Amino acid sequence: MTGIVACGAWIPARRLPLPLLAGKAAREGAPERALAWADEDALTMAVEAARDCLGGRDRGDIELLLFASTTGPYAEKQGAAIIAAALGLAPGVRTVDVGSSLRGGTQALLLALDAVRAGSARAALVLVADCREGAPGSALEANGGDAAVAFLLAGGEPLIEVIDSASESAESVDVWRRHGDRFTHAWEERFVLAHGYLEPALAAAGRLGARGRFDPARCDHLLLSAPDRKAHEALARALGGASRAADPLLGSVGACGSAHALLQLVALAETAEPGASALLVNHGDGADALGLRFRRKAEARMTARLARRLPLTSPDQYRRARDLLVTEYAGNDFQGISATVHRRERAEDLALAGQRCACGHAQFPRERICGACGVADRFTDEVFAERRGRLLTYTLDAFFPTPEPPTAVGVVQVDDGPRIYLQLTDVPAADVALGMALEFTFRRIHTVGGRPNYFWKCRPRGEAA
Amino acid sequence: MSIAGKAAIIGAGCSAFAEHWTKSAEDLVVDAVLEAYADAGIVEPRRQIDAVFAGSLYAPMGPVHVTEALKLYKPTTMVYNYCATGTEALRAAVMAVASGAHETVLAVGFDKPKDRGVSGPSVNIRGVRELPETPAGWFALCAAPYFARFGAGREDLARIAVKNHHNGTLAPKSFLKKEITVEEALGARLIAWPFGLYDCAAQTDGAAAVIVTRRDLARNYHDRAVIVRAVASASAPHPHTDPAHDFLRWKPTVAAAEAAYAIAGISDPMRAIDVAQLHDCFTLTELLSYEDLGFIAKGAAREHIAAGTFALGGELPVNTDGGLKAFGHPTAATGLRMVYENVLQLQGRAGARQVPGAATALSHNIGGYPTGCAVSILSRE
Repeated sequence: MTGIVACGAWIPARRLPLPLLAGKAAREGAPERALAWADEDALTMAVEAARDCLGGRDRGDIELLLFASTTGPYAEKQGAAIIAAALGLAPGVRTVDVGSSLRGGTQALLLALDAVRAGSARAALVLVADCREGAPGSALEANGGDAAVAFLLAGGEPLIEVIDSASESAESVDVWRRHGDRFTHAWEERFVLAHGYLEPALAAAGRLGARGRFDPARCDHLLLSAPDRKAHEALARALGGASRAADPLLGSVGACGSAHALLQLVALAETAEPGASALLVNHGDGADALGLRFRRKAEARMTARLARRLPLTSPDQYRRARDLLVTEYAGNDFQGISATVHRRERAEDLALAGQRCACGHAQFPRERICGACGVADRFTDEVFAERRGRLLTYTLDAFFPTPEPPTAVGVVQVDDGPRIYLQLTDVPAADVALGMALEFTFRRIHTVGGRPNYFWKCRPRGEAA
Repeated sequence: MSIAGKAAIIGAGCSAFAEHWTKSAEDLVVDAVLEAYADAGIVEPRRQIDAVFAGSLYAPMGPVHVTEALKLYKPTTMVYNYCATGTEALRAAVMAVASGAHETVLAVGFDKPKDRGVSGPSVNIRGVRELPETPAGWFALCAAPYFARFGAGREDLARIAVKNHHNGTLAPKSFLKKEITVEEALGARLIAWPFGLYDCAAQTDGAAAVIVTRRDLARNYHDRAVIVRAVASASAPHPHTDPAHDFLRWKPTVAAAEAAYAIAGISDPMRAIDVAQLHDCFTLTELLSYEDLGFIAKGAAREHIAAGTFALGGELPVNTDGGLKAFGHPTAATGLRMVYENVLQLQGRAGARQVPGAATALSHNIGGYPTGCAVSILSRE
């Protein structure tokens, strides 16, 4: 049987308490949204979700990679290809970006399912990520959220079975973002709710029921994407039961775009009883409805993901990190990173690949001469991204330009590997300590040259994903 | 062939170190070199100087800055070794003279960082990986392990800044002539932990120069020549990737000191050296250098700082002119500024900061990540 055999998620550690947006002080327990930090974007979050999903599993059979997002870093240049490099997937993998609609998440999932069922890919990895950035003062700024999910589809005993699906395509100028726009526009609120959201969602669910293989009215759980709480409640009611609706994570993560319903699925997969069924509805230029059955419980990690929180304390932190402030100069924009150099060093930068000499000595980056034995060209490549390490020494650099100085940076001893000079992230400066246990995380390190540049950082080794 | 004692310094000059908004790099080179000419008694440089060895980190036109500033069209070589560039220029000059390739040569170091419109070193993001690229961040990497191992802390660093600020008030050409207190140093804004503002060298514009000749020719100029007993340079693995680094020392200093002492025949540097100019780009660099140069045992710096061992009037005065901290740090000029100060000390011309009877002087430059170091040892004839 083909189905979802593994799933994973990434929720950025930074949380924006919503009272800050209203000019009030943040208080513990107030509603908040997950916020991709200055060193994160949809692409880095997708990489982290993928690593969470794959764990130590061999990646050699992944022949299809789909990256669905409306907030990928490039208009022309494929995100999935960058992700494949970061994950060290085989060069023969078919890489696809799916975009333009919040519905892209389920569309990618269904396309992958078709491909694996048809036998054109042994395994497919579906990554769905969005950074929902609203204009200052807009409803989306407060209701949105940033997160990523990952699903591995393959034959064998699934975690989650996709029983059937149906789609509704509904052209409507309800929500849009043109080329060159930074923020999403929306038509009048009640119009959007009625015709952009409820109407196509109910139509898709109805069409799924009419196919006869899955009964949306009798399923155990509802997993519903929604732009806000009001819309979510309205759809749950219309589908016949708010009591069956899974926590939409509004007020904790936020409405995380194309990943919103799917993040609820990742959470529910940990608690739903084997045999339980769920209707998943994902909206955007229509809607997709999926009938799902849980076959076994996924490893429980959602509580830890939600608990890994670094709440902001001032609105300026948010505005600096998301580049919403007017400054004297545009950001660092030198000639940028040479594309030639980038190509030569992409294994180091994207996959954290180094090398090991025949004498046993590990090095990063890859070079010609061994630092231990002094002999040339006896190396084999070795990837260190999934290794762990510890902090040998560090400083807190307040001089280096960054939205939130100081920058914690140090020399990391990789377990059974080399030493690498890396920034630390998702850790308050006061918590940085000699010898601390670390793991690697894929981040947007800067935007020199006006382009996103990606490299690895370290974060404290934790139980959470 | 050893270079030991084969070359002599017959002239030394140094511009004022300052934020020279109204002077060019060429103006500063002229200031330093004309003083060196006058000190040596050179009146016809086009006849008396055979070659030039110059260093600069920021000069975009390299040797042309020097040849055109001086209108001196001689074989001119630029050397480059980060913050050790000044001493490297001296080493190239000494090797040229000791080998017999040239008789009398000019070594000059200069930099003009204040024309760039930024305070402190540039933050140029050229690559993806080696970030943040700030010298304070690189030189801070020994702090946490050293503090944890030997119990030292920011107060010990502050005392070094206080000492060098005091010494700077006694040097006419220094940039900062301002006494500070330990409390002021500890309360200053953070640059890169544990370094606050007062732990960092003052970046300035400036130039320094010396004239080097064969020892047997020195008497043709005057009778106060200073003998170059050793100049040595060393490299070490990049500390960020060195698999065997303990972050309690800087290896380039250890290696360059060993090489310099071997050339000069020195076995007990604490007794043999009377005055020293050390590379205090950051206070911790000076602290580690006390130990890495073999003046005191590893881990003993704290007690010696408290006892005033390296203060003026102490057993081995260090950075008598205020050092990089207070005299200023025009990167490639610094090594030759140190030699200038040592020449004055050995000739008894150091005024209020004179170390009585100084007969042997050491200077020390370290740069890169840090990865390179150069050390000179000079003595009275």
